[in-house]
Order: sequence, then C-alpha cells, then structure tokens
Amino acid sequence: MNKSKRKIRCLLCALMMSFSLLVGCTNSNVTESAAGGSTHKEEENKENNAENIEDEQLPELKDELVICMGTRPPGEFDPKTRWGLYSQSQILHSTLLKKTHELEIVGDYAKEYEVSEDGLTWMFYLNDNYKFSNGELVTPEDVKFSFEMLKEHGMHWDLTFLKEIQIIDPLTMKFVLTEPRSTFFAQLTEIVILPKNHYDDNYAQNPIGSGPYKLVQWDRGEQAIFEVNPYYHGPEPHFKKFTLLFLDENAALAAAKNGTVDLIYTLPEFADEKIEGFKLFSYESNDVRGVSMPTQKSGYGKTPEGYPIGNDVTSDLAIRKALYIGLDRQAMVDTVLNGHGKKAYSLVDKMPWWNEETVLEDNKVEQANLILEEGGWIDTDQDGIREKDGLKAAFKLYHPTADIIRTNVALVVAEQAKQLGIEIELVGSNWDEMKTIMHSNPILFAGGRHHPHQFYTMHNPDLAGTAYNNIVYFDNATVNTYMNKAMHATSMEEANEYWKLAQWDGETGASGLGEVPFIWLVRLDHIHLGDARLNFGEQAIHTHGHEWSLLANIGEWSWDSEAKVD
Amino acid sequence: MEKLKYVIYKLTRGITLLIGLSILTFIMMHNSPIDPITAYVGGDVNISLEQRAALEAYWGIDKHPVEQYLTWLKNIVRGDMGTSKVHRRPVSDIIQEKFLASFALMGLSWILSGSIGFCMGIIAAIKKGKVTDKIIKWISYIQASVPTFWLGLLLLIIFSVWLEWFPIGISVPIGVASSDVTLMDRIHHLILPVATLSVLGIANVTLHTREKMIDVLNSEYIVFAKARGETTWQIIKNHGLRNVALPAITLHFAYFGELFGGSVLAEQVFSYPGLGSTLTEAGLKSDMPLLMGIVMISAIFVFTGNMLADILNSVINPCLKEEI
Repeated sequence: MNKSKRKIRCLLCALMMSFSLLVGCTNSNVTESAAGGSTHKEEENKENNAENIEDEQLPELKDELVICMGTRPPGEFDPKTRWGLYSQSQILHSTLLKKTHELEIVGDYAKEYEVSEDGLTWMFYLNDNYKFSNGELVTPEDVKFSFEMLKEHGMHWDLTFLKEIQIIDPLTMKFVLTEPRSTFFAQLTEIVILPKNHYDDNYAQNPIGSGPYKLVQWDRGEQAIFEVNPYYHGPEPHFKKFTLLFLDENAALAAAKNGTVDLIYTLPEFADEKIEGFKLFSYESNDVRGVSMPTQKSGYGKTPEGYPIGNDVTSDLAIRKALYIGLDRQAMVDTVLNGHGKKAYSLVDKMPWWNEETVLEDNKVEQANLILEEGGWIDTDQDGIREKDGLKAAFKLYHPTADIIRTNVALVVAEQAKQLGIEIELVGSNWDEMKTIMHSNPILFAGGRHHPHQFYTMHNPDLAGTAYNNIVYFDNATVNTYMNKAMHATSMEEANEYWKLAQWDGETGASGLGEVPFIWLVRLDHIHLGDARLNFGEQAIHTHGHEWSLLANIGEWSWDSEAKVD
Repeated sequence: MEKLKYVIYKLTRGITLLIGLSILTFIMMHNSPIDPITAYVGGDVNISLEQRAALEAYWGIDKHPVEQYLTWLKNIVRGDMGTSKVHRRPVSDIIQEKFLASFALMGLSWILSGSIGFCMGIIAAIKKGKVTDKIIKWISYIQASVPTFWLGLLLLIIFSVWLEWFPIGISVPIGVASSDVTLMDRIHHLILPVATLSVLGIANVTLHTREKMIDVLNSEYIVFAKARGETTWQIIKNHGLRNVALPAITLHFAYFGELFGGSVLAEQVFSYPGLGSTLTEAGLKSDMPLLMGIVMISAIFVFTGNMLADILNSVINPCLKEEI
C-alpha cells in the first residue's frame, strides 16, 4: 500500500515537473529579457493613459499604427514569391521607376531614363543617395543582380526579352532588349532592388531594402512589425512604426471593436458596422469580377497539361453578346456589393489604355433576346430555355465557394440569365478543380492591374492554356496584331493607342463590343474601416489584391487629430 | 521478463501504427486534388512546363509515389524530417517551435479540465439527485455539445470585445519585438484559448467520475465505513478517491486525441500559432513533408497518452497489475 502510494506521488511529481519544464522552455528566450519587457509595458501603459485623457488634453499625435489586412502578407516580402506584383514595391524597397497616384511613370532610383528610338536600349541615370536599411549604399550591381536573378528564376516575372544589363559607370546603367517591350515600364515600377550581398533563400525573414520602412520582425500567422528605415533617402514617414496583424475578417472586426487595431480591410457585408471613432474608407478599384466564356467549340483539343478545351454553348457569339448586354450590373453592385462598387465593362476600366467606347448600356433584356433569336437560339419546346439545333442554351458556371463575393456574383448571374432563356447551372468549387475545367467551362474570374500586361496575357493565343493566361483560348488575328504593336511600341502613349484598338477598332476587338471573351460585371470598391483621423494621402486607383493597394503609399500617410467621424 | 515482453509488445504496436498511419496519410495527400506546385507558386502565375518539371524534380514529386514514400521513410529513420515547402525551413525546426506553443496550450487545458472535471464529478455524486447535481449535469451536457470554435468565438466576443480583459488573438502582444515579450504577456494571451480548450474535456471527466463515485458510494464497504462513523469527507478521502481516480485517469489520458483535435480549432479561432494552425496550412498548401511530420508527432503524442493511461492504471489498480 505504502509503496504504491509513493509510486503515484513520484509519477505525479515527475509529470508536474515535465510540464513546468516544458512551459519554462517555451518562454526561456522571454524571461531573459524580462527587464526590457517591463519597461516596454510601462511605455504601453503610458500610451494607454494618454489615449484615455486625450479628450481633455492636447490632441495626441499618433505615430504608430496597428493594421489588419488579411491572414497572410501576399508576396511574403520576396519577389521570388511575388512580392511587388500587388503594389507592395514602395514599402520596403525602391525600384528603378515608380508610378504616381495618377499612374504616371516617374523616376525612383533612376532619376532619369531614356529609351532609344527602336525601343531596344534603355538608359538609366541613377541617384547616388539611396541606402539599404543596413546602411549600405544601393549600387548598380544590386539592380543588375535583382533583374538577372528574377529573369533566371522566371516564375513570376517574364524578363525573357532582356538581353543584357551593362553598368556604364556607377551612376549609369544600360539595359539591352531583344525586342521592344512597352510593358517593361510596368515591370520597372514593380521589380524591387535587392541587396546583392544579402540575398539568399531566407531573405523573406529579413528583407533588407531601400524603401521608407524596414521589416523588424515577422511571425508567420501572427504579425509583422515595420519601423522606419533610418537610412531612407526621402522624407521621413509620419508613422514611425506599423504592425500588420494577420487575422481573418471576423477576428479583425472584433479587434477593431475592442480598440486593438486602427485600420482593417473589410467585406461589403461589414461595411455598415458602426465602430466608435471609426469611419468607412472606400476606394475605387479596377479589381474586376466577371465570367470567362470559353471561345472555342468542344473538341478543340487539350491544354499542355491535358485538360479539355472548348464549350459548344459559350463558343457561340450570340450567347456571349446577349449576356454581355442583357445582365443587370447595377443590381449586382447594389445587392452583392451593398453598393460598394461600380459596373465593369472591361479588364482595364479607367486605365490610360482603356477604350471608353466599350461602355455599353446593359440590362437590355429585349435587345439581348433579339440577338439570341437572330443567332438561332429559340425556345422551341416552351420550357423556358432556348435551343439551337437540338443544343440547349445551358452551361455550368464554376465559382470558388471560399470566396463570398464571387459566389454571390455567380448566383445573381444565374438568376438574371433565366430571363434571357439561358440556363446556368452553378457549381461550387475550388481552385484546384477549377484549374482543370476552366478551359471548357465558364468560371467566375477576376483581374485588374496597373499595367496592360494582364490584358495581353489574357487574350494572347500563344499563352493560351498556361497558368491563368487566356483560359478561354481567345484567338483573333486582328486583336493579336494590335497587341503585338502595343508590346513593341517605344512609348507608353503609342502603346496605349494600340491597346485601345485591341479592345475595339470599330469592327472587332477583345471587348464586349467585339468578341466578348469575358463578360466583366463589377468592379469592387476596396473598403476599409479605420480611425477617422487617418489620412491616406493620394491613393492611386486600386488594383486586384485588396490587401496592399491601400498600404502602397504608407510612407505618405499622416494623422489628422482634428478630423471627426462624418 | 513479463515486463520486457510488455514493452516490446507496446513498441511494436507503436511502430506499426506509425508506419500504417504514414502510409495512409501519404496516400490521402497524394490523391488530394490540391496541386502542390500551384499551391506553392500561387494563383495567377506564368509558369512554364519546364519550370514545373524543374520544381517537381527538385521536390522529388516526379518520381513514383512508392519511391517517394520510401525516400521519406528512409530519411525519417535517419532523423531527417525533410524541409517544408511553405516555410522553406527544416520540418523538425518548425515542429519543435510550434509543439512547444501547442504543448503549453494543451498541457494547461489538460490539467485544468482534468482537475475541474474530477472535482465536479465528485461533488455531483455526493449531492446526487439534489439541485447541485442537476446543475452540474446540465452544465456537462451543454459543455459536451458546444462546438469548440463556437465557444471560442463566444469567449472572444465577451471577454475581448465587450469586457476588453483579454487580447483578440495571437500569442504575443501586438507590435512588440519578441525579445521584449514577457512571461506575463504570454500567459495573458494564453488564457482564452486555454479556457476554450479546457471546456471541451471537462464534461467527459465529470460525468464518468460521477457515475463511478455513485457506484462506490453504494458499495458495502462504504456502508461499513458509515457505520464506523466516518464523515463524508473521510469516506471520500479514504475509500472514494482512489477508486474513482481510475476511470478519470484512463479517460483523461485517452483524451489526448480529442485534445489535439480541439486545439486545431481553438488555434484557428484565436490565431494562435501552434501545431493545429500549422497543420491546417500544411494540408491546404499540400506541404507533404510538414504534414507528414506533424501527423507523426501527433500520433506519437496520442499513442503515448494511451500508453500512460495503461501504465498508470496498472500502478493504481493492483488487479490490473497482474495482467501486465
């Protein structure tokens, strides 16, 4: 009896000890610096007090922010994992060129640039005062390294046309191209300058750059802490520190309500939430949603990965045209987006290369029905669905169920299509399945960039079937000619004229007026709930990718202590 | 000799379990619709067939599945768990880091739910049929039927949003460098997840302890003890606890599996960076080495729990000792 009693005690003791040891281990790195921690706590308390009495005293000038923009940082701080594709380039890094809020291309590390008449030689005259966040000077070697490394990696940045990069002298660089490339301008504003001597596979954990901020700490799935880069060449940002908190939309809203965060991005259904001291910041975007319409007949073949191509119903132009003008876009904006959006007509709405003629009056049910009848689609068996040569005007529309907005848009499209006698069967899906069926079935698609290159990849027959490029197998010789001319143009202005012609030249084009490869429907407004005293400076029109669009110019944000909630 | 036999038997069972489980996990992951290459490079990316092939070769996923599995097995026997595709770090490092965070969460919840459940069970049994018993029973039924994530959200709304006592999520204070985080900060962030996870296990222990205690209280030796004039507390202490502890301990060690499952949900709700959220990410991104690693570790964890339950049982109950 006694013996076993002792045994139990021993066991229990051992158990407790192992627990305390383990708990101790988790915090071992913490307790060492407990002293530092407590002073910080005091500071925090002081801050809190300051906030509490701010109403009676002088208005507080806040210079630290806590922000929620989704559960992970898209691009993860390394251009090899797409850092820069969603307007993030100017936060931690500098680029050769940059764009203003009006989308003009101006100099950054290259204060001036020159493109030769034939578009093959690009000269860059560099600044000499750019420094990385570790104090080292930015050199042409770093630029050369960044472009050559990304060209070789090749996965996210198509630089195949780049023949040679020469360093003429420490302040002059020459890029030689194999063919003219007007969209190179856009890439020059996106590709960040990496430190040649400090770039390795772990770069994302310590992304040294020459932008206004530096990343101090990144705990995956929890938070990323940014502080100003003391060596930044430009004016010092107002906010000395900001923390990105990785919470989902629900947790973010809860955090905003309990006063933990200053700013969150949010969904249309949360737009009307009232939070004390907060207001709704809404920004127009070209972040479009629409339906992709496979343009080839079934039996067209297989993609390089072996997926089927073509759809007999959507390849009929009358179906595509009727849907393009027959659907009621405003109803989608009002219901799905709660009014926080605009009607969309193309992938490039409001961009300098957008052909404004592509705006058509929509919700024209009668006109749409006429188009369908002329196209031979007639409801012969009176079941409410049209037929043509025994083929029903019916197709499946796939949408990712994890994406609420896309799912809701799909629902409305299917409902509205009934009036036109077109039956749309909705299929809730995921990207892994959709990737295999999207060349033969419509999917609820999205897009929107600050450059026309996406328009090129989405309509280029040479790229059809690769990744998400030209999933509809669109192939129009006239459009192709215009697009190639645009790509080979030596100035943005010249290129833009060709991009516009590619959308509609009076006879054909890759838009709703012409071949309708996509039925673009709505542009989302990017909505955020934030402290009313925040001032986000001049925002460019936002692009696809809600998270970083607003943050793109965080170096220019300020705090207006007088501002009130409207 | 008997003991050695027992140990060998247990070890063999453990190892075959791990092998079987790893094969099953591998087959399921291999057949999952998630394409690891797309998951890695992300959605709208231009990736040529050559680059794709290069990546497949780099990760070895161009080889025959059996060969892939055997390579993995060979490496793991040598102690190499591979490199995570998502995190680009050795799997063993990630698991070590996350396991400690999860262990603090699960260990505390385990102790809490065990002790609270045990006490509540005993009280309910003593007060059998009275109001206290009814209340405890009802609480247990509610606890048993409430989904973890829902409870987590509820606690979050009450204690974080309304009362503002506890932080919204994550394991450290916002915007504080990890070198400045104190132990108190960690505990402060741990309270809500621990509370959520504890509730999951209380009901089980309570109800079983209650039943067993009622049995004990109805037994003849208790009648005899009463006749001797022992007070209720003396009876419980001298005759009850030991008999009742048995099912409670067995149950509670066997509950390691559910505990692990519950922590996945609790970690999601509170954005707490433990094994659970890492496992979810590994699954969704088709990160085979990381997923296999976590599955193995958690299997060992659950297996150990069950084995401890067996051993403790035999230590506490001499009747079972003979069988070992």
